[in-house]
Amino acid sequence: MLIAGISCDKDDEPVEVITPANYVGGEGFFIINEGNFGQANGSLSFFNLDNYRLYENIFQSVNNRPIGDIPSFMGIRGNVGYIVVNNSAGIEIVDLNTFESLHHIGGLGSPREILILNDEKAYVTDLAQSGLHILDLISHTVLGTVELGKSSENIILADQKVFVSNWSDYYVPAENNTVQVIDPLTDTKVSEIPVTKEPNSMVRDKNGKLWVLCSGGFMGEEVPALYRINPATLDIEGKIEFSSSDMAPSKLNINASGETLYYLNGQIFRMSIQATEIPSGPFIEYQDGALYSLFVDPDNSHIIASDAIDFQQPGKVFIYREDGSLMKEFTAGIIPGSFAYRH
Amino acid sequence: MLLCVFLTGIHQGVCQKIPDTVNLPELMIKADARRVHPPVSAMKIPPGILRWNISSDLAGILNDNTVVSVRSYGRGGSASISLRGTMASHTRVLWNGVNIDSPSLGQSDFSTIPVFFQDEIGIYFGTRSLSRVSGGFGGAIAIQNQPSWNDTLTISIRSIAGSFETFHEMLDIQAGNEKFHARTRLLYSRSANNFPFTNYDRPGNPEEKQENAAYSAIGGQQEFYFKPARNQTLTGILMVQRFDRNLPPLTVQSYDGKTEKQEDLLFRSLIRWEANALTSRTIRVQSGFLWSSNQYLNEKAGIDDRNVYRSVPLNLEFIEQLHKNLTLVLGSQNSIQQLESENYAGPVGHHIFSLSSALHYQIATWAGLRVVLREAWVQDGFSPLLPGLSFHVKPMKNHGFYIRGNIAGNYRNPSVNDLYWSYDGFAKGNPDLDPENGYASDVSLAYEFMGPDLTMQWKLTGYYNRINDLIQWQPTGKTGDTWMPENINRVNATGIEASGDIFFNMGAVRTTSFFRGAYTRSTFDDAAENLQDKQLIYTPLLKGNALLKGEYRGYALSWSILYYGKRYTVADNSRYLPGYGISDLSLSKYIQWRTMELVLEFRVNNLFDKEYRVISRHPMPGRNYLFTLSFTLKPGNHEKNQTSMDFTHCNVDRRHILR
Repeated sequence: MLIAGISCDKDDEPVEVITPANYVGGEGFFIINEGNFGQANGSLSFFNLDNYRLYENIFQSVNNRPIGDIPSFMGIRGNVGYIVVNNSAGIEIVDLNTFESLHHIGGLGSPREILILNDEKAYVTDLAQSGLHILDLISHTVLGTVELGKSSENIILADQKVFVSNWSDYYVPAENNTVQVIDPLTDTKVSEIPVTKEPNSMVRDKNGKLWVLCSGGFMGEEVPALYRINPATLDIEGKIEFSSSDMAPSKLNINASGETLYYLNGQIFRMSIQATEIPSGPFIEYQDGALYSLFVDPDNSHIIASDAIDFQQPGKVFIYREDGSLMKEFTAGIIPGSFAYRH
Repeated sequence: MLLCVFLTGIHQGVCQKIPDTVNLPELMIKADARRVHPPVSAMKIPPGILRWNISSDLAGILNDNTVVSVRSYGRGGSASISLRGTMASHTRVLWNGVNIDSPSLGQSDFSTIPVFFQDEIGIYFGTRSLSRVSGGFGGAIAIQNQPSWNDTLTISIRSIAGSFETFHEMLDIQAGNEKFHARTRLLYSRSANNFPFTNYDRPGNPEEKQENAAYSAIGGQQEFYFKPARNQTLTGILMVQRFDRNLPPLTVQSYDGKTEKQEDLLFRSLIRWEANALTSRTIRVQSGFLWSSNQYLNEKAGIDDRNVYRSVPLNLEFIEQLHKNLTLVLGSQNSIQQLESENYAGPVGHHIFSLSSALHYQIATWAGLRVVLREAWVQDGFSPLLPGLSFHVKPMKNHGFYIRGNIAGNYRNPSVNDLYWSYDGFAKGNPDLDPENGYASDVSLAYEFMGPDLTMQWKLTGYYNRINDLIQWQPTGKTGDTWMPENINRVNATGIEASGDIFFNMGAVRTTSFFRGAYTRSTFDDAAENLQDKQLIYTPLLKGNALLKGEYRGYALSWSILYYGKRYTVADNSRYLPGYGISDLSLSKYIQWRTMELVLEFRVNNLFDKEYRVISRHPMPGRNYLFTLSFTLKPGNHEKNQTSMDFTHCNVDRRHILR
């Protein structure tokens, strides 16, 4: 056995062996499994809503290589997916019908999320750099940056403006309690809206209003709060505070009609956009610890949540109906951190 | 690693001239009650193998020559080991009897321990480590320095050059007489470490070169040995070392020119007094001062993290032969430690005090027993009393068959990080942690044969280790956003180890060969359903080594093989790295002229250019070469004396392997 083992065996690539995915596309949602930092064992899973089947490791299975270290976000435009790979400092662009890699854009620092503005241009937020990356989606190059003076996290388009949350001050020392406003026509910052510390997620409601969820700081410096902002005037129209600075709400989502907000605070909470108070109890109570991520399907308001368990083994994904009843539960990849819906 | 052939070449070349009846010198049979009894669950790397791997580090020599499973980030990268299916924190490292594991992590980086500074490297498997240190569920690695009282003056210079701009320079000066011995060792190593590899993790599988992977080490060790009286020895050792290494990007990352590096500064000192009253009593007292600094720099992330550790150990040992068949060993190990890190609220003091006792009873010439008890006080509480029991039987008087068995309880205290990591928004220590506890057991069958031209040993060992209340970091809190260590799991590790060592002489041809193989099954016992019975990650089911070496009239040719089976990389075993086997080949020539010795060696590592990974996303080098030139001058020695000493080494080689 030993002697057999030393022979030249160029056919065996010295890389991780995985189970083939046999991805066939269709309608459903992608699960972006972050994997462990520095181990590049993140992956992409796809849950097909046509046949209710899970396809795992689809990127590596199709492209015969890992997607990179810490895939963290996926943007979709038509049949093309843009997967942000944080610790590989790049973006993988894939054909969603086959999941074949079309292009790779690198050199982005510590990218977090992508906002695709049109067929030609996208913005990418960055945790470790003080600017937004401007991508040319035709040439697949980085055109430049929009200087922010802060790191950037969540990004959303509202009223022809781009809103960026300044969530972290870890790599770029600067106050992390603002939402910055960018004019996508001139690629310049035009305004900055002060909010509570650590704005982590934003949604737009049926009235076009921008909702911003702030966790209050990882050391509990401030009481978490939810803001409603008029994107046209940039005025703060409302602020709802949580009951304690011990809380760390995150993952703000909104349902298909744009009337009901969802967020995570260990459990799944929901509230009407008309509400004036934070709900006192969870909408869906999760008994096995704390949930890690949340996503609300923009077509039919399915609520999709994940539990990263011990962050070492593959995590669990739960699909709930809009009434909160559990529809499906399955195991995905390591640390299911975000989701992307494909119509 | 090249140097191996050089020294073995020297010694074996000389050995061939000497009959096998020459007596061992005094130093090799010094009175130590524990040596009277057959070692249990212990293995010593033969001096010849040690010298053959003189430019390697502790991780490398253990990887290539033992059943120990090594998890290394590559050449110059940090390395930890797994002994008998346990985790990295379950192996203790003893430097001249002093535990040198980092209290922060509760484990050692084996890549920072150069073989060149060691005279002995031994493995005390599981139960065997209990009389020296606790927490070694897998066992303990003991590295030792020993004087050569017969040396007058010996000056050795070794110069090694290899692929990837790798250079090692070593100077070793020994001088002394029967009462005093001094030894100075200086080391300088560096490597650009820019080896080419095929990057299977990128589109098109491009050929790339490892970037930001250079490393260098510089250090020195000064030893003094003095015999103030015939039965007393005073030892002083000083070791200083600096190890700088860049940390290369993963294969899925691009190097952006920003440095990520680690710098380790180490200072160790030791003073030991040892007295032997007649041949039945030994007293040993030793103390010292250990200091280490570890700095991690990450330009991209703006991290500059430095940890400093100081320790003052005080060990006492008393060995008394109560009766011709009964030996008592009493010991105490005391360590006062202080750590400074931004990760703690302030300097952390840590105090460990333990008492151990062992009683060896030779029931008859064919059977013996050994009972061990250990009790420790750590910081503010006593650990449970740990018992251990060993036996050995030699059922046939005229044949070298042995049956040996051991069972012992053990525990491991939480590391300082586990206890005192201050809340940084992501993680915090848990001062309420319990120690891990459990036991280790093994049974061995061995056959030993020593003839004029053939010496061999075959050994088969089965073991079972159990670790309860395993400490693991996990997310906790209402929102699951804070990591804390908890006692949450159990590990069962079972396995079989087999080994064979054969020395065979045929006229002027001398051969040395060994093989070692291990089957390891290590699983979580209290895991979620999808993790039940799954192998621990990076713990190979199969590992093996083999060596075949032949020597003839100053020439030596050796071929070594290393094999690892598949290693799972994810807890549910859904991914794995495929197994691999690599082999090294070396040819050396020994030349002696009067009081000078010259050894030339050419070595090919990874002979068949096998592509493999030890850790996922970290490439390993393909075929590479090393050339060694070694020059030794012994101006004060007569030729006869030299050959006698060299023969001793050869013979000791054989005896040590037989253990």
